[in-house]
Amino acid sequence: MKKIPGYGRSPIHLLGVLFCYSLVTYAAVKLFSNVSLWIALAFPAGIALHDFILFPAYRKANHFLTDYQVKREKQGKTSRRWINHIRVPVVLSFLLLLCYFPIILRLVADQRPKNTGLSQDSYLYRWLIVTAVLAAGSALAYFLRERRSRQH
Amino acid sequence: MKDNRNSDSGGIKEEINKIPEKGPFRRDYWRSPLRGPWFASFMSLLLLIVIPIVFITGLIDHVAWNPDLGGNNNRTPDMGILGFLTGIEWPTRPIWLYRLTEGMHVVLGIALLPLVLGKLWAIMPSLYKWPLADSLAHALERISLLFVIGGIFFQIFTGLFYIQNFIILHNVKFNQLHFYGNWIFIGGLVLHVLVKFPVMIDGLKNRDTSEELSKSRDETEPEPEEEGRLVSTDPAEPTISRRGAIAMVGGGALTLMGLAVGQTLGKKWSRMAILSPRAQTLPGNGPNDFRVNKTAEYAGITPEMAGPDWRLELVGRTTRRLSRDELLAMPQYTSSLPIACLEGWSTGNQNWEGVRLRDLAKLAGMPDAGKVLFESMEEKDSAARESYMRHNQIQDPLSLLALRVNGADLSMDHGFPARTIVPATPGNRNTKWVYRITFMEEA
Repeated sequence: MKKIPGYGRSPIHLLGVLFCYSLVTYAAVKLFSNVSLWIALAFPAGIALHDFILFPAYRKANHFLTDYQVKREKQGKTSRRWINHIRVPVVLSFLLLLCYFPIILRLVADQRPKNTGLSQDSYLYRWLIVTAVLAAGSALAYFLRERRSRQH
Repeated sequence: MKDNRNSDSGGIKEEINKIPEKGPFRRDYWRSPLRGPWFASFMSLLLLIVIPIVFITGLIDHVAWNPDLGGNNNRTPDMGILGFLTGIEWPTRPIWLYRLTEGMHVVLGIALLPLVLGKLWAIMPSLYKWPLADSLAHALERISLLFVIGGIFFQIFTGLFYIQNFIILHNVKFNQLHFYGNWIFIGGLVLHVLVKFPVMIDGLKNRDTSEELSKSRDETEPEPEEEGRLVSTDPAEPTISRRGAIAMVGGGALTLMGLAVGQTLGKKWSRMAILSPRAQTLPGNGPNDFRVNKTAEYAGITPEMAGPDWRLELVGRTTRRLSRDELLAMPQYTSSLPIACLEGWSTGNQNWEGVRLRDLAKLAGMPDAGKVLFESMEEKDSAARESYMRHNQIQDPLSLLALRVNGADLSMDHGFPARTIVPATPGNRNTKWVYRITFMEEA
């Protein structure tokens, strides 16, 4: 489709941009007439947290793992790739922490059981147990595969 | 050696010119052999399936509160044109309707997190394009990514923080955040889909999906370099196949779903939802041993308030005061209905016994009441202190002012002396510890 001179994209694109920015502006005005403007920081903060902390951290961790794996393989010290047996439980456990950290770390308003009649003290242990099960399952899968490949 | 006498502005310009050769702006900084248009498109497709379901079930929750009836039913009072769905009559059948839609909203909303992270991983290199934009149109399009990426995280985390009662949301109006935040996200998403949908289709067409999914790690090849910025120019050896990476993302989503879905399947299954805040099984197996959102103690209900002096004030054409015994002397009906909370948990069907709401409307001299207001004795939670319902909810033969449940008197925690229970209605709207019912002509 033809580009609009000085704009650089098609008329449909312009319509999309107009729709997007008017809806966002309207919703933002409504939002911030009801809640503090500080909340707006959550949008760039979420992105910054992902792009500048979360992403570089897991990138580094992953490079460390892969480099070590490759080194061991070159030395002939390992026959089977174990890297994904580490990645999977770590990723799943981390996802659960990311979702449930307020209750796991007890950062909860009014956690006394009289609120719901339920105790919320044990979530850290629950998460640790899930993590342990994931790690054990992954290790077991690794050794089973290892044994099977040796038998062949 | 570099000339230090260069002016500062020249230094900055030089720095800017060097940006494309630096860190993440370099194409060979990104080394994964998995990244490419096909992989990114596949991740987009997953999101494009799940996000509409979460969006629509969220809107359904908004409608289910009948916000046009006013009072606490409307959690976002000055929503203006964003309240375009307001006024739709929320049905009372099927009885599990709200249980299903809200359960899906919460469980799939949580499961979105790994899908979003997977998608972001797949497209990371394209966020570091230099120059940042090639035209005004492109600049506006890229700025709108702030609404898309920021918005989806905002929605997922406000939801997660709310169901966990995270201290950071104390004194912040969750409904305002989650409702308006949604529209900011949707604004960005509409533009993003408009621009990128054809790109996604091309990306998927480039390779045969079933063939791609059949490749093992050793068969995994980088996508062709000329296919754009997402493909590394210096790919590392693959350590996982594409299908493996997809399985990891999908498996993450399934794990989160598997650990959350139990909270809405009923008593036995709730053991599976070990990390969900309200899914624990209550000790005991008695008639009243199913979950509550709030105990009587927390709501400030004392035994005296619910004692023999309690009277139900029934307001319509006339005003009457009825004791619990008088209510029990009226025709009693049994309804088998679940409790479904907006936090996503729900119970199986419980057998509620009590007086039909339509009988109470007749008694108040308003058999055709268009609207009813229930008021609770509770002090703590202003959202639950009053609730409006409309004509269809009053008239449904299953709608009760419940006095008993599962063959026993209601426990204090379940709303003794009397609570409302209406099919397919959000748990919070079914007022506990009722002290006054006011029938009104107009909706």
